[in-house]
Amino acid sequence: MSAVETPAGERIHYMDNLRALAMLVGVVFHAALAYSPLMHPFWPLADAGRSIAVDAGAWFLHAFRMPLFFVVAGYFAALLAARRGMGGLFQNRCARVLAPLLLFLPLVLASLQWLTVNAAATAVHPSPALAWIRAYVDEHGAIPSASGWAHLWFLFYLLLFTLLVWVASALELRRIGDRIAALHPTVLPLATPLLLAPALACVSVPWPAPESFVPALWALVFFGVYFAIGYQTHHGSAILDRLRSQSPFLLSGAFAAYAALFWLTDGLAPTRHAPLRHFLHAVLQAYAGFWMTLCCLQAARQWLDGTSATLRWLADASYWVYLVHLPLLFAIQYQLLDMPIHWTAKFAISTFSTLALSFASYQLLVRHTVIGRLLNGSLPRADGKSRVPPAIGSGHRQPWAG
Amino acid sequence: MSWFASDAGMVRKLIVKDWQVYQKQLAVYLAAMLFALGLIGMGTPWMASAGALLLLVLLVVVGSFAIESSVMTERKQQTVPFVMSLPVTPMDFYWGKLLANLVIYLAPFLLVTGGLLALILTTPSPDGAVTWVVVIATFMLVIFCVSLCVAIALDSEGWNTFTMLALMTLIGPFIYWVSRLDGIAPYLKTDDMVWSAPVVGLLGAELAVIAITIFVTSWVHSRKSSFL
Amino acid sequence: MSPAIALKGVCKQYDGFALRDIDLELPTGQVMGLVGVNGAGKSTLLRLLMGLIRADGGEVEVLAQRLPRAQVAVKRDIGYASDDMRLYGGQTLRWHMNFIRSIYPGWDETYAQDLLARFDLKPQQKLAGYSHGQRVKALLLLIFARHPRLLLLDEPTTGLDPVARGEVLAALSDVLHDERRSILFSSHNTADVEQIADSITFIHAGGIVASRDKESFLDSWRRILCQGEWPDDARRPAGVVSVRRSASLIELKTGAFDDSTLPALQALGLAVSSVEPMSLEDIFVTTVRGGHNP
Repeated sequence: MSAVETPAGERIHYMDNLRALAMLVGVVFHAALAYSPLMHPFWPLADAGRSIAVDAGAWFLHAFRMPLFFVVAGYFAALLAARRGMGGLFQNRCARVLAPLLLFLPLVLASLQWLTVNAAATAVHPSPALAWIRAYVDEHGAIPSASGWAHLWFLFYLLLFTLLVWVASALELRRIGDRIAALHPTVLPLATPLLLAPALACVSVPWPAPESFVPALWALVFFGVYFAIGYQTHHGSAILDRLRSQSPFLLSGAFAAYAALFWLTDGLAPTRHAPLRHFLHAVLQAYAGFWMTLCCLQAARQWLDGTSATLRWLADASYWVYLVHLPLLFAIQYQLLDMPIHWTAKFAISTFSTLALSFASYQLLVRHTVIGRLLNGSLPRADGKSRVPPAIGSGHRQPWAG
Repeated sequence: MSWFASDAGMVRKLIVKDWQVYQKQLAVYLAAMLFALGLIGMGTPWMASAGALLLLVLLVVVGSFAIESSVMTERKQQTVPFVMSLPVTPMDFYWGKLLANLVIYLAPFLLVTGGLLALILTTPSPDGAVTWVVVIATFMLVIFCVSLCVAIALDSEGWNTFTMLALMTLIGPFIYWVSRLDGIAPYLKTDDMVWSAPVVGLLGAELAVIAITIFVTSWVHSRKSSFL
Repeated sequence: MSPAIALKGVCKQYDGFALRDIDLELPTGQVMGLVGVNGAGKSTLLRLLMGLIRADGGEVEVLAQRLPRAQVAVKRDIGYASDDMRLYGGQTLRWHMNFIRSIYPGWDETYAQDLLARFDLKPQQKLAGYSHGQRVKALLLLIFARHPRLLLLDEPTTGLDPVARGEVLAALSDVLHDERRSILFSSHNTADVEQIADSITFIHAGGIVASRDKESFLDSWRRILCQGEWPDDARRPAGVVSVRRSASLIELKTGAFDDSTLPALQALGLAVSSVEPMSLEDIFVTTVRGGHNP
C-alpha cells in the first residue's frame, strides 16, 4: 500500500513533508537574520557584513513560513480529532506540544542567555545589540531579563488553538466552516487577506514573533485563520482542487505584492507611517503571505506527495531540529562574529553546521530514546504496521498498513 | 445523615453530567477569556486595560452566570426531579453541584490568576503588585463561593439574585480599600513582594470565609434526610 | 416474598394538606392503580415511596427496605417518572441513554433500541425539540430499558394521544411478564387503570378511601334502579353509598352488592327494575362524592 487513506480520503504525505520543510527553512531564516540590515540594530548576532538581498529574501520567506506551518498544524488537529476525538486530541497535544514546550523552554532560554552573556563579554566585533548589552552589564551587573516563549511561541499558540478547536466543536461551528468552503473559489484568495490585514496592521511590518507569555490578539486572529483553513482542509480538499488553476496567478501576485511592499517601505525600514499607509503595508503583507501559502500547498500536493525513508527521517528529525537549532545557531554565529570571512561564507557555514549538528544530535541522541518518543511517538515496528500519527502531526506512518 | 457523599462514583458522574450539559456556555466563557487575554497581550495601554476589565467582568459575571444556569435554571427547568430519581442521596447531589461549580470556576480562575502572576513576575512590572493580585483574586473566589452556597441552600431566585448583586457591589470598594491598605500600598510600585501581617491576615480571613461558608452549607444540607 | 410496597400508618403534614394514616400494600408482581382527583395526595404518596419525602409518622418500606434511610439502594431498583420531571433540553436522547447506562448496570441496549422503534423516537434529536407526548415516552424509555423491579409512575398517560397511550400501556404490560416486577401508577384516567391494573386504590383528601383488587371492585359495585317510595324512617342498607330520587325512580349505588342486597331492598317496599355494573369511573366518582351525601 503506497498511500495512506484517511477517513476523509485524503493523502497526507505532502502535509507532513510541508511541515518538515517549514521547520527546516526556519533554520535558514534565523541564520539569515544576522546578515539582515533590518535586524542589524536589534539582533545580538548581527554581523558587520550584511546585504539588502538578505532582507528581500528572508522577509519574503517570513511572510508565509509560519502561516504555512499553522495551516498544516490545523490539518493535523482535524485529523487527530477525527481519529481520536476531543479527548485524544488533547492528550496528544499535551504529550507532543505542552511537554516539549515546558521541557525545552527553560533550556533554550538559559542557553541563549548564557551564550549572549559570554559573547557580550568576549566578542571583539560585537553587534550593536551586543555592545548595548555589554554596557548594560557593566552598569547594572547583570543582563537585562528577557523572558517569553523565544522561538517556541508557535507551540504556545498551537495549544491555544487546540482549546479553540474544542470551543468551536462545542459551539458546533462546523457548519460555518463548510459554508465558507463552499463559496466560489475566487472568494477565498481575494477576501481572506482582508480579514488578516487588520490583525497585521496592529503590529509592525514585517510582523514580529509574538513571544510574550500573554497571548496577543493579533497573533490569535492571524495564525488562527490559517489554522482554521488547515482544519477545514481535512474535511475535504475540494477547495484546494478548485484553486489549483489559479496558482500561477497567485504566485506572481504574491511576488508582486511583496515587491510593492518592499519598495513602498524602502526595504522594510522601520519608519513610522501614517495609519492608512501602514494599513496598506499590512494588506500587501497579508496578500503576499496568503497567496504564497496557497501556492506552497498546491506545489506540495503536486511534488511533495510521496514518501521515502529519507523523507520520513527528515520529517521526524525536523521537530527536534527546530527546537534545538537556535542555541546552536547562537553559539556558532557568536564565534563567527570575530572571523574575517565574507558574510556569505559565514551564512553558509552557520546554516550548514547548525543543521548538521542538529541532525546528528537527532540521530545519535534522540531518535531511539525517550525524547524521540516524546516528540514523535513510537517508531514504526519492523513489520510496517505502525501506531497512529505522532508529533505535531507527521502522518507518514501507515496506520492502516496491511 | 452522613456528611459525606454516599457514593463518590455517583458524585463524579454528576459532575461530568454538569460539565456536559453546560459545555456550550463554558466554551463561550473560554473564548471570551482568550479574547480578553489577547487584548492584554496587545501591549497598548487602552487595549490592555480593556482586556483586564473584560477579564474581571468575566470572572465575576460569568461565575455567577454559571451558578445561575447550573443551579437555578435546573430548578426552573425541572430537571432536578430527574436527578433526584437517580440513586443519589441529597448529600451526593449537594457535593455534585458544589464540586462541579467549583471546578468549572476554578480552572479558568487559576489559569488567569496564575497567568497574571507569571506575567508580573517575569516582566518589568513591579513585583509588589503580586500581593495585591492575590488578595483581589481570592476575594473573587470568596464572592463566588458565597454566591454558590447561597444558591444551593436557598431555593429562591430573589434571594440568590440579591446576594449576587450585593456581593458584586462590594468589589469596587474592596479594591479601593485594599489599594490603600498599609500592608500593600507602599509596595505596589516596587519590586519587593512583601507578605506583611495585614496582607496575610486578610488572606486568612478570605480563606476562612470560604471554608466557613462551605462548612455551614454542608452542615445544613447534611441535616436533610430526604430531598424535599 | 415480601411485598414490593408496604406502608403502615404513614402520615405527612403540609401547610394546607395532610396525608393521614395511610396503610397500603402492593404484593410483588402486581400492578396497582392509584386513582384520585388532583390534590388528593397521589404525588405525595409516590414521593414518599421514592424516599424523596420523609414521612412524619408511620413506616415506609419499599422492596423490603426502610425509607428514607435506604433510599440509594432502593432507588437503584426503582423507576420513577412524574409529570413535573423534565430532561435536559439541550442534550439528545442518546446522551440521556448513555448517562443512564453509565449509572445502572441493568441497562438493556437491545430492549432500548426496540423501544425506540416502537415509540418512534429519534435518539439524535435534542429533547427541546420533542413534543409533550414524545417527552413522556422518552422518560419512560429511560426507565423501562433498565428493567427496574418497581415502577412508580405518576400519571404516565396524561396528555398522550390515543396511539401513544396504547404504546405506553403495551410497554407496561411487557413489564408484567416478569413476575418479580411490580408497578404502581397513578392516573385520573380510569380507563387505563381498568385496562392493566390488578388492584386499585382510591385516594381522596389525603386518605385511602378504598383499596381492593379490581375484580372485587367491579363485582361488588352495582347501580340499581328501583321504583317506589323510600320510607322516611328506614335505615339505608349497609353498603349503599348514594341514593338519588327523581319522580318515582330511585337510583341506588352500592359498594357491597351480594345476594342479600336485592331482597333487602324489596323488603323496604321497592321494586327493582334494573341492576347494572358500574364502570370504574363511576365507582370512583361515587366513592369520592359518597362522603358528602347525607
